Amino acid sequence: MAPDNQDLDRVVPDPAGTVTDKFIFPKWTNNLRELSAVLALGGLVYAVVLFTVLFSPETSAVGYAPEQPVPYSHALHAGDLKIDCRYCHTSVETSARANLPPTATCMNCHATIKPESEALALVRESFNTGEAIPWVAVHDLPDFAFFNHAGHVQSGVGCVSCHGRVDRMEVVEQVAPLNMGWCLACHRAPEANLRPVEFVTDLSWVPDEDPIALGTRLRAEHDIAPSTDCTTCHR
Amino acid sequence: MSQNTNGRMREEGYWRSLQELADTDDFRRQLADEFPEGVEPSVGSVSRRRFLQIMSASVAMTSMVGCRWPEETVVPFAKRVEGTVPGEPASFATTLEIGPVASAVVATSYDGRPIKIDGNPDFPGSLGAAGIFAQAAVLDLYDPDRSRSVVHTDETGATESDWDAFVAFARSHYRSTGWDKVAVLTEATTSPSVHGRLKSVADKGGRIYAWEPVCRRNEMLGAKLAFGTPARIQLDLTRAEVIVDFDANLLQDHPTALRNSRNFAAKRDPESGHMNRLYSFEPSFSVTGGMADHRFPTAAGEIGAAVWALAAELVLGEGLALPAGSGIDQGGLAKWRHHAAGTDHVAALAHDLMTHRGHGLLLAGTRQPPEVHALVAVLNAALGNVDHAIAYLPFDRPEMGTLKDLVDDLNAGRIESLVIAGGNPVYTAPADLDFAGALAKAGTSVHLGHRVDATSALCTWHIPRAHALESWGDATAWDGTHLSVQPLIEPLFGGKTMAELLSAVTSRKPRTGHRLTRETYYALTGGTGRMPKVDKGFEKRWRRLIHDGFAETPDSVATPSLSAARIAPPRGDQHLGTDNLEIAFVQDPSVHDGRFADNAWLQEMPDFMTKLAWDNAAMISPAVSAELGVKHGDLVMLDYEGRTLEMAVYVLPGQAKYSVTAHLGYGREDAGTVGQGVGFDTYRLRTWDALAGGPGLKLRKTGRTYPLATTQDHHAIDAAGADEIQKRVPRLVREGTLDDYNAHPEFVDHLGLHSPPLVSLWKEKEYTGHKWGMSIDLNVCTGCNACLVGCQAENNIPVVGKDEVARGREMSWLRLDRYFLGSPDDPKCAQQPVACAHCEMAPCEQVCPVTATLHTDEGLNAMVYNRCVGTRYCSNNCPYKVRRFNWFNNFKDLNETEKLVLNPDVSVRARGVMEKCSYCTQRIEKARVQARVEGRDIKDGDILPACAQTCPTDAIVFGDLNDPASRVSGRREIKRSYDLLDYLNIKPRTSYMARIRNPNPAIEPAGGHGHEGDHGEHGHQDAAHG
Repeated sequence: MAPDNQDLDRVVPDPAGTVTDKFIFPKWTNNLRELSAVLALGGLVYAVVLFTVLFSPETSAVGYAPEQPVPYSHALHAGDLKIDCRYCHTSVETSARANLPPTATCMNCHATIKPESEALALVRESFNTGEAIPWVAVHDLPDFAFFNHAGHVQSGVGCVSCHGRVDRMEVVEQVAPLNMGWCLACHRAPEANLRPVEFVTDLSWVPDEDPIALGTRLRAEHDIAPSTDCTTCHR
Repeated sequence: MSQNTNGRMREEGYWRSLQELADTDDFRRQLADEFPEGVEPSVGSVSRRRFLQIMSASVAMTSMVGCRWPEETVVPFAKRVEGTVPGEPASFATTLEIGPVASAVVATSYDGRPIKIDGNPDFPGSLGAAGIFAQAAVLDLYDPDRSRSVVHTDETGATESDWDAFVAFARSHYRSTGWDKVAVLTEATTSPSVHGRLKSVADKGGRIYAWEPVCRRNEMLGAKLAFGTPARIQLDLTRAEVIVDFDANLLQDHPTALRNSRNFAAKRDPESGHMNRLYSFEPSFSVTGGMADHRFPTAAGEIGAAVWALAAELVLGEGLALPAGSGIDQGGLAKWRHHAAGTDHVAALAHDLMTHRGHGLLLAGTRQPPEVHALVAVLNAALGNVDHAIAYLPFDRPEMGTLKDLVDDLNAGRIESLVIAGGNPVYTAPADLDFAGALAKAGTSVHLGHRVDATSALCTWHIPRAHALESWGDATAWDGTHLSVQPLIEPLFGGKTMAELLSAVTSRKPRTGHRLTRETYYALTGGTGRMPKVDKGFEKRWRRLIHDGFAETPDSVATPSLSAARIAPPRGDQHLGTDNLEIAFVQDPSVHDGRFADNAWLQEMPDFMTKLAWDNAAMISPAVSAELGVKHGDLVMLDYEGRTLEMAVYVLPGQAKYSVTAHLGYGREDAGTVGQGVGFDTYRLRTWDALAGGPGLKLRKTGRTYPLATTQDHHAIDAAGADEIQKRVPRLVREGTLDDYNAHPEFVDHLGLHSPPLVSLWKEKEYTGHKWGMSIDLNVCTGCNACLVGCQAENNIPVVGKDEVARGREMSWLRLDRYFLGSPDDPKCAQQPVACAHCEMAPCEQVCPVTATLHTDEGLNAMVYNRCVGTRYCSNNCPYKVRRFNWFNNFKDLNETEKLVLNPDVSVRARGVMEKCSYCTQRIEKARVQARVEGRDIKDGDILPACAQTCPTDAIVFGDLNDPASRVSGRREIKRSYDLLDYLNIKPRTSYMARIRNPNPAIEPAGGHGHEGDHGEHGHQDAAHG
């Protein structure tokens, strides 16, 4: 059968003068071998850059330590003065959120301690006017991830496991990547992060025994079965 | 019976619509497509090419901005309110008043914004349930069309004003006008504070009028005829074995409908042997009619005759003695004895009532004239039912003028200044009164309203009205219990309550709603004189009231003895026919009297019976449809009392032959963006003398058609052809009679498809921990839609609008399948709620290419929105058709106020994502953490999905199937429990319980029911090896 009119220009006579069929590679394909090498190299570079960016602490915001409107030092309050986390983060044991304290909590002490301090001007202003202090969120999960503080604290996961040694931080910074892989790692094997509930807020606590052995025991005792189901955190 | 296009028509079996029954081409087309109409034509007006351009541009944009993690601030209170925890929902007991009905509710607030309204579980009037209106009321709070300021209109035009300006105006105006020329028109309210303010207007010499488009006036007047005093009817369905409902719709329209439903359900328990029997006479299918064991389609105007026929049969046939003061002439009864309206079965009905004397109940509907109510009261008294299942609680009904009196007084120039406290009378007034014209005669008129509506537009002052969730106030429940209204939020737009407005009218220094409410309660609880500044006893009572939401129920008062002089029988035959149809005006099941016209949840909610969304229609019977040649969706001209209205027609099976039902509340030109011009305004046909409607309607074809959006044929289970559906439906919605059930408790299994032993292709997962499951009892599901609205509010389900609903793209996770059984003229009806059944062997999971839907260890069929790429394979493979696809970014255009109603515990889904029932997984997780915090295990009943929480009949039960003591496990043990499409071996976690009807053997002899064929086919063979 004669080829279509449209395809006539693609038909190339062979040396013997007969017409071959139309499925012949165009000329530029001769460069394909070199081209594919370039593409492969480019792909490799792309993959390296992509994964470097994806897994860099910068992307997961590890080390994120924004400047706060009030230079509040956890190192001073929680570290030197040994104020328990729950003095300010009152709802951590019963609620999904630990919650930042109202300005009134600051003024419990600072009404009499350093009442004239320059650094505390915003705190006093907030207390007098009722305007909130705009603290900058450090640990910020995506809105489709539903984290519950009470569930973790009541199971014996220490504050330090996610927040690090806040009692040594002048400015609070994020120490854990807070990405899903990191969450799941603990949900799959929580033993290393379990402690008796009474030591949850003690950031410097270390077990007397092998942490894994303790965690295994606590896990069995308290029937701790963290789920890796999607619905646990995503609804 | 109407002719069909394919020339085939079935007389028996189940069907969902007349289109399906007649097997029309339209219906076949619907079946062919999983998603009626493809995606391409309707993505707005954006062409595919343009769409791709936009997409690529937006991808580029996001990748540029995506590098920067946005900085978020956390703003704690400067001084936190004692007892509050930010981020934790808090619940408050309050009250919603809808028309003359007040119900105690619990409103949930999240960080200061109310997001959900549920029933108050402690309140005896609702037993924890909430109806559709109460649940949807929270959406009205955030309606962007609410008015935002006082508006003052004078010769120069309308200007924005404020409350202080109005107060200053009122201070001098009413005194200088002279109180005898001042009138107040109030909508129905049970609030003691408002009645106190109205009384002070009356004490000064002002006139008081009341208008409520759909009211219970006839019921009160009927009680007055029978007992000499107006009364509120109290029902206790736990004490009724035989119930006769004369167009009363006691499971939905009665003020205690929620409690009635629960009590009715308690007496529909075939396992315990408690089975009542419900008879229903009604023109159009109601929720109650759908539940009836015997339903007699009867024109509204014939119901009086039906009651008289029953009375005659009781007295003359059964020898019932009429007590003294019955007001009935025994001699006159004879001519009613075999009246056609009484149906052929009146003798059987009368006998049933006689044998259950003292355990029966008769109830007439509010649309029936007072004489019918009086006769029903007399029959209840004669049968000894009074003070058992029904009681008439004397009620001191305040004397107020009617709307007609007001119009007369306005026209006669007796009123110079009018205050309209609530309502929208310009829209709702009967057409023959010309209220708008009369209103213009008042020099000054003040209107309190949620929106600048038709009435506000004609008044000189408009005062924004506070939503109940923004108000301090009070109300009275149907049994006289004092209820409290407390605000969850400051008025968003500076709204005022009725009491506050009236206080400004009567007092030089208007008092706040809070103070008025406290003073009223102080006086009600025995306080005298001015309320002292400090009264510890009262503070205690007050705090108790605010906490509980309701005070102690007053002692019940016995029904007074009969003292009727003469109860007039109805006038002669109405001679109804195609040239003399009856029109019945009924409040709309979705938008009430029009007050919810701007509520998108209610507009999108398919009507429980017609499955019509975003419209009302004139409902005609299949017989009239055939005789006049009018089809479903035709536009007809209704001609009634010299007024005409063009309206679409809905052919409703089971509609009384020559009765046309017209729902009120649609066609508002003054609603907001949602309800503007939706449907047909039937108020334009209503007259003062016949508020309920009457004969004399003519219906004329116009030749035009109108698109009606119904969901009834959407998401058809098993689209394998209409014939196949006929075979399969009896397996889906299984039912039998009580006698069947008692004789063959396993009959439900025989209704299923008998398959060879089911074997799984792969190893089944074992569930060792919790194993969540649900059971839905079709025996008590009334199809009231409460679950649907509850789910909508809880799960942030988008509203898509009429066009998209018509395309089958409604998003509701839960749908109520309504099936008719039998002949279109007098079918039975069955309701079946269907949501994701969380199959253990879920077909959807097997086809998802990206594992966006997968099983959890507790057996939930989880949907991971972030993984979903929108192939919609899962929906194609879902045998129940319960998956919903987001064709659009449905939440994108919400403004800041509208967003406030969203539940923060549930993700808002974006375009291109599949979604479906999650068993309220957020509530499961919450209960899990709560149990951990309290150091215990999850108990049965800790987890209530939104649908189960609000179900008035407790039809939906959720729990752990691995806990043998859980309610849901108990239900599965019952023989009438079955799985939908069990032969597919998909192992659904939601199971159903078959419906058991309890027909009167004298009317329906045993064996005369629908599933006989199927039973005969498989039953005996099965019994042998079963």
